[in-house]
Amino acid sequence: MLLQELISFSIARSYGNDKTSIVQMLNDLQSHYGYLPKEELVQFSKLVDLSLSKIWGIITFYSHYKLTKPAKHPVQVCSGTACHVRNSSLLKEVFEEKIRILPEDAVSVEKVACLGCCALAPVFEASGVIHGNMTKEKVEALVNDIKLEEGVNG
Amino acid sequence: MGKKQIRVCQGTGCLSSKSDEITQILKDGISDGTEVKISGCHGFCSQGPIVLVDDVLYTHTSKSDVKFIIKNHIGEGKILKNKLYKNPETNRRIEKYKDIPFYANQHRILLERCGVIDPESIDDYIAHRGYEGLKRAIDIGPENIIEIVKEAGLRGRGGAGFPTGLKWEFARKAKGTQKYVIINADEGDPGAFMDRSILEADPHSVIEGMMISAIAIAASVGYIYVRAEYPLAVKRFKIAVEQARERGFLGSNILGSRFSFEIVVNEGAGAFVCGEETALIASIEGKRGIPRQKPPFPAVSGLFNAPTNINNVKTFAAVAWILRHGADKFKQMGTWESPGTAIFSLTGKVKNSGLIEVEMGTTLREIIFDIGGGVSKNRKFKAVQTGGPSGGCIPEQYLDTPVDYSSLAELGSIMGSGGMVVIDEDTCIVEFAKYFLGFTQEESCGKCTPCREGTLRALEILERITRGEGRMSDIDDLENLARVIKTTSLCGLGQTAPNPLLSTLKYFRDEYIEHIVEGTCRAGVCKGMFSLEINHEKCISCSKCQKGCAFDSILGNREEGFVIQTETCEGCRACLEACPVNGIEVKPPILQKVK
Repeated sequence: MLLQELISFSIARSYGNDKTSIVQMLNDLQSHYGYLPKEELVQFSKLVDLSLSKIWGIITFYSHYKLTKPAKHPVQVCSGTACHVRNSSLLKEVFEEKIRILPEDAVSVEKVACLGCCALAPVFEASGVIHGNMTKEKVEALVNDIKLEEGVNG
Repeated sequence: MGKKQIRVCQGTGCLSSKSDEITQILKDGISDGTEVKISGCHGFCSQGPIVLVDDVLYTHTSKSDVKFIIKNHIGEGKILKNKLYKNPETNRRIEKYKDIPFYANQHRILLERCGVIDPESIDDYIAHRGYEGLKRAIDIGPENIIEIVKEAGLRGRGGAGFPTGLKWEFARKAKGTQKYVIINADEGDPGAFMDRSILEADPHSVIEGMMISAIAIAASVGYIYVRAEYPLAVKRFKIAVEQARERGFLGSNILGSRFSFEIVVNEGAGAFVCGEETALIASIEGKRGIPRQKPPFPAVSGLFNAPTNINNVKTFAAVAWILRHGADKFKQMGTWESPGTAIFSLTGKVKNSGLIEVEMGTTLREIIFDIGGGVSKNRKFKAVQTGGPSGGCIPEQYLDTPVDYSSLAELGSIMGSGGMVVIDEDTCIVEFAKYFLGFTQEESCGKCTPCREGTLRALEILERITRGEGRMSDIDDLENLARVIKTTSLCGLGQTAPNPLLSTLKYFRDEYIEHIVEGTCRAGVCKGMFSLEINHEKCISCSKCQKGCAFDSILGNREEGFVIQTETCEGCRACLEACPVNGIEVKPPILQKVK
């Protein structure tokens, strides 16, 4: 069973320390599924012998956890200080405007905490790839790339 | 002449502009035995991708430049002049990286190997005096290690500046059979990336420092708590741990001694408050990352209630250096009160942004103008923000202040873990304070009322002021709120959250009053409180503003000139950013609000 394997993997990684962190297991779970599926969480709660409400408390505390399936092209806009003073929120607006014609599950955009590439501000992260020194033109190019992949014209 | 060596930066910054592909093309294209290796961050991220051929630094290297590097530089010994760094002051190209002002004015000891060694090679680390500090630590034993660290006067580089040697002594004296060491790499401060760069460029130095601490306090297990947002740092640290284990630097009976040690890599899950040590411990234990009352301090009762020593990434890197070079050499740098060096990530509106290291006591002016090259696009300097959401804004009149823990605290800011963001006249100070309050409000864990409710109320007032609905009583209310939050919050997050507010109220009170009384925002940021106008004397009709405008509000053409249509202008400032000659000016709003 996959879930059991994931848990054993998490435990093994802590070198026999039996007090393994639920947070780490949830991280492993999320990196496997891309999000935390509810059915799996019910199972998980039984396997680690911790009530679902406690697990829910942990999940909702940390901003890293997602409870819905991510879009095909997840885009993150850094809102760290360096990006903020270089107008990243405006570029996010531009991006949101341009992706309107795409289907909803194709692309998602979210504001995230500092990505740590401050010297390249403003920064976008698209499907795990960092795009630095963003401008309106670069945002448009990024949207066009996504449109091409999705086969959308215009 | 010896063989040449090429180093390609593979820090996150340079990787984002495809330095991995450049490395591959170089490796494929070279046939004369020249060594091509990867390195971690050089710190000069704004010039990336960076390629070094021996000590010649090429900036903004593209894939098409590679064949010229191979043919001209490697083949014929001719340097590619147009890819060298150009000094914006003199317009002269600089060949040797040590002559570039950005590097020449630094004092790199902890960043010494960053950009030099291959972060994924333990041999390279050992060849650069790696693990010498650990060997010495094993030889001299716990008491002497603590004595040396105390003698060096090292203070915690995470921000608060607590003496490291003392902290270790507490943990050593605490009773317990199992003790822990933790690396705090939960670098959540927006605008800071020092820890990330060190973990990516020189992970073994952090491991070495951690092990020295473990010997000193008699710990057998170490944890690193690193942000999940830093995948490359996690990957490189894991590689380093594996290599150290293979070479017998980790495991049982290390280097033939009685000392045994293991490292567990623990990824965070995106919570700023977990940078606070008790919250971090709760998170490793698998709970919500909520801080608790101190004492007991972690040194007495920390992880799983066992004595625990937590230090920042940079502190551990400094420990390894001190054990390698001795306390005296460390003390020779910096000030009497804060010896050694400080690492900053210099970002924002500054020409040379990147990661820098200077001696403690260097002035802000030297950092921003000599190393940073001054404000970008020749705009006017407004303030420098240090310490992230826990720090404050320092205006121009204090630029000659030498940087150390106490001088920054006196100015109402903090040293913090090293974020340094330069802002110019285009940043609205009220909006800037609102940004930080918004951040701490969102990241407040919610446990104690002053932080949870206080930051929210302060944020509401700031939002009102930036909407043009401020009242004069707001300024007093903000100051009162700030004082209460500062004195009554449980942990460092709440206690320092009002700093951005208090420092801006202190140094930029005029701007708050302008917003409230006149309804204008002189920086041109707060919507509806300004208008934009093209200065036709400066305008060169390049049309860049028109292309940049996100709302198509700039009318005209290159022959007849341009004009901003105020009715449709959303005040997004894209034109201001796009204009190469600073030809767009901020004016009071057309429709003055009736007070």
